[in-house]
Amino acid sequence: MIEFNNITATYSKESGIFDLDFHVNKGELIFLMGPTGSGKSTVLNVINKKIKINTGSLIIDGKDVTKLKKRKIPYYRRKIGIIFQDYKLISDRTIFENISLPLRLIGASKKNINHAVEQVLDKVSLKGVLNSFPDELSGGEQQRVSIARALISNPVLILADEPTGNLDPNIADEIIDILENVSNEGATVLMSTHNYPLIKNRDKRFIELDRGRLVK
Amino acid sequence: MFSRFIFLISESFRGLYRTKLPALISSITIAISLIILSIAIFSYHNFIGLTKNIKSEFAIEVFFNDDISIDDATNLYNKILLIDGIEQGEFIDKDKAALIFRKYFNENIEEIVGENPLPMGANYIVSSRFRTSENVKDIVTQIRMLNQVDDVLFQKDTINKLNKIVEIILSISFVIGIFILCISIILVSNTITLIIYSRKRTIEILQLLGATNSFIKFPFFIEGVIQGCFGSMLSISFLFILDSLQIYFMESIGSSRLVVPSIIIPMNIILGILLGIIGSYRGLMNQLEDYS
Repeated sequence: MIEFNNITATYSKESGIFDLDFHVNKGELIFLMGPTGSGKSTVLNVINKKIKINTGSLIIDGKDVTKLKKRKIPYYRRKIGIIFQDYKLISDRTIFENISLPLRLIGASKKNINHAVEQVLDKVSLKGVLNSFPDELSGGEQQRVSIARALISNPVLILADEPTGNLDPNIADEIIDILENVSNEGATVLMSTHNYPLIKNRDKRFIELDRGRLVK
Repeated sequence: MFSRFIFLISESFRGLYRTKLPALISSITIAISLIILSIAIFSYHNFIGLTKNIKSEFAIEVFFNDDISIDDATNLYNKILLIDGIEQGEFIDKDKAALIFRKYFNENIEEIVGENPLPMGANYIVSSRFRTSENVKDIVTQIRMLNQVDDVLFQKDTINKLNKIVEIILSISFVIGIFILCISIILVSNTITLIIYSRKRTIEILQLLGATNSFIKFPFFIEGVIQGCFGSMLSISFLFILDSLQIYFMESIGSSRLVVPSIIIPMNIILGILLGIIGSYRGLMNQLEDYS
């Protein structure tokens, strides 16, 4: 599903990722491990085409997206679900509006949006919050909303950038459970975290990075 | 597709509601520019109308040869009357010429010289459509080419002066108009820039979720159009009030109307929307590229 072939992508001479080479299979949940500044977010940003690749090649779902044209990036991003540590919810929109945004982008009908929102809320175990605003919810609930938004368009790939970074251990565990269920249903999930104890009991592969280079 | 369009339109109104004050300020600026422009355009037209109404300044005096007979003089008078641009004329025979002489100099020419040496001639008024320096010169040239015409006089300097005044008014109106238009474009684009800046985070999220640039730009564009429309409505309302006041206070002196609805309404709406669109476009160009 994801093929990182000797990719180097840098912000400066010292920061970025260097000669990174790894593969992630379809339907796999894989953790990106490493301390702050190790390049975890850069890996996700490279996949999401926020950062340009200097050398190497990136294959996503069998397609070479290394040099994707600028105008094609939005359409490429629609196939990826993305979850952020700070949730990135729009504060003056209701939960329903936040979750339905990816479907608004593709011009889905109201009926389809209502149906999809209902289904995705079940997946993240959220109820009775559709008309609330993000600030009225707890951190865990906001992250569930962020996950619901990422899942609503049934993406083949989900990128989660430290999704548990701001949450209590119990809630964090529940979030990882949700992501594991999603991967069991066939989506590939790449989740970055610096919290090793949180994932050590899960029987999943992980990639460890340090200063932009692969450790193991 | 339709649901996306409805969504984007509702986004535009939502955006305007969130930034009501700057949006209102730029609408008022558009309105002020349109009001000044409308008044400048109508003042210019009214001044041209006024100059064309000064009939005496567009009079041509023609003097016939001394040896012309009264019949030939009458024929020549009628021939000149048929020239394009001549509205009306007055034939001056020798007796009438003597009367005019007496009126101006308070003397009887026949008593001074012993006979009446004054030539026959005619005075003509140029029709309002031809009251420009160039047209009057053309008519004078045509008259001069006729047989038995001795001399032709007209108020060349006065016409040139009037033309110069019209040109100056036109230039000043043009410069002021362009200046005001630029100011309102800058204000609209600043408002859009402010709105974009206040929605920086939303734009970033939308882009990460796969929104195209056109999806992000469209609501701002519509906001510019709405600001332009609102500005033009304000200016039209103000101009109509001004027009009513003008009729109420100045009708008795026969002043020309400030507002001609068939011109002022479409002109203000089109210009207002154009200002809004150009302002939005400028604001978008300044800001949105940074987020892509």
